[in-house]
Amino acid sequence: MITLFRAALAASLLFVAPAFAHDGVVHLGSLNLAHPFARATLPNAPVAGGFLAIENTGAEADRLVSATSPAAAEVQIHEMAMEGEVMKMRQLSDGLEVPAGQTVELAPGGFHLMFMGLKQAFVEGETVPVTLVFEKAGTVDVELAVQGVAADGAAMNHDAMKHDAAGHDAMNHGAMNHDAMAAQPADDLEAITGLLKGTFETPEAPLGVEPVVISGEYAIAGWAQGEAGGRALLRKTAHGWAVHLCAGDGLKDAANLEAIGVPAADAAALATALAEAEAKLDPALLAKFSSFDGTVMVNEDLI
Amino acid sequence: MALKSIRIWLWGAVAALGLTAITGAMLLRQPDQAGFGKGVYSLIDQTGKPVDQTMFAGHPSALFFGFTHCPEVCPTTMAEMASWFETLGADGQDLRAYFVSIDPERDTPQILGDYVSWVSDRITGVTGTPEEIAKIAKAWGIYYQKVPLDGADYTMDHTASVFLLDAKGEFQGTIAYREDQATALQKLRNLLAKS
Ligand SMILES: [Cu+2]
Repeated sequence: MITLFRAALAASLLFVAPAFAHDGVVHLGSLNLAHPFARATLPNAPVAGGFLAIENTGAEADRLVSATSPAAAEVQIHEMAMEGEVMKMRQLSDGLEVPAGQTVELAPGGFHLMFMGLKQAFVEGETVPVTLVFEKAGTVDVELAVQGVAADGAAMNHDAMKHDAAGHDAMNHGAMNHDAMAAQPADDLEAITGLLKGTFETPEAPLGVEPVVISGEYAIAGWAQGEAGGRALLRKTAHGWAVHLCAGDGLKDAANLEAIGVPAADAAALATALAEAEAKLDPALLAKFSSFDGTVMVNEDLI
Repeated sequence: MALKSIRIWLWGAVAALGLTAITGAMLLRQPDQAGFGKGVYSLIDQTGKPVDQTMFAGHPSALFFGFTHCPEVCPTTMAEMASWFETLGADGQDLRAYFVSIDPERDTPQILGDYVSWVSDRITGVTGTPEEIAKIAKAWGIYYQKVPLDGADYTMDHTASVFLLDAKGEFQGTIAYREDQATALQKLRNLLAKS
């Protein structure tokens, strides 16, 4: 499970600068509990998810050890993660650690409070009381505001259907480096990921796309499918992103990129960004990229 | 991207990687070939009416495998499906959706009926015996696995993608979990256009 949940952990553990100043933040010793919410349930659904951010401003780690609610027979602490196209969920029987000086987000796609044996449906606009028990800070009551069925959080747009906020990116890009994500236009990143997945992914052969580095209208994307993998060189045209060619390690080299026809500045920027992004990835994944032998031209006219 | 281009890429991968890549290549979309999604099974819908593999014929379909004890993935997907139906409006009038339970021991027709009716009147809840559910799940390459929780309770790990089928019931592609709305709608419009 450790490998499986590494991505979710990286996405869920946001290292936020201290001091929440919003209204409605619950203080408990050195803990600040913010943005508590739950999702409305569908008819007959006997379970529901609850979410909040737990900031630990203290010098010692604390641990959320249990939770109870009059709204449910039982509340467990869970973690979910997507492994390819498969959703996996696990109970955290030992609770959830909140390291000193950090904020742990319980958010859709990651950690959550799992309400089981609901006494009644969770209805949007209502609130659900929950009692949280921390190892050191003690016990606290929090009211979760019930939002839409697919709501992504109290701090975001209430209608999760109409946007793709942080929750979505955290899900899809898992352990992807946050600086790299912030530096890239999210639309391009999503378009490239979508293009590769839309073209090559199948139910039984999920396609991982990571990392994606972009410079101007050129991009390089790493991809892995089963034991196979490689790197793709893409260019943005008036019709959107398209794949120019696929290769292995050849695309790591700025001189190669230039020889292919990528402008020198972009070639250099891509090579640097790629090296930086790949340095953070699992060597086993990089080995898959290297395993792509030779060069396969996909769309010659592109560059 | 042209199909020819895809083949070229695949053959590159096949040459480089041998058997593994060939297996992978076999799994890539080949809408003209029967195979994926094909199976024979006897199930029931939310009204208790028998349904089988012929239920996908005659209209384009969106097919999802889930369970009502699912805290997040299934409700989210149901909410997104509801918004697809709503956004497509009359353009999507031929589209049907199916929610097949991979937890048939708990998901009775009655429970499924209220659950899926929240989405649309064009979604069918499907359940049945564990043996028959296993057959349809196998046909669609669905992974599902019971995971014990404290007490006698359990949850399910399961494939979270939505499968798109044309009017012949042939597999045409997937919508990934939490795929952005615009991409999902484009895939549905493409499906409707060729169905
Ligand atoms: Cu859970």
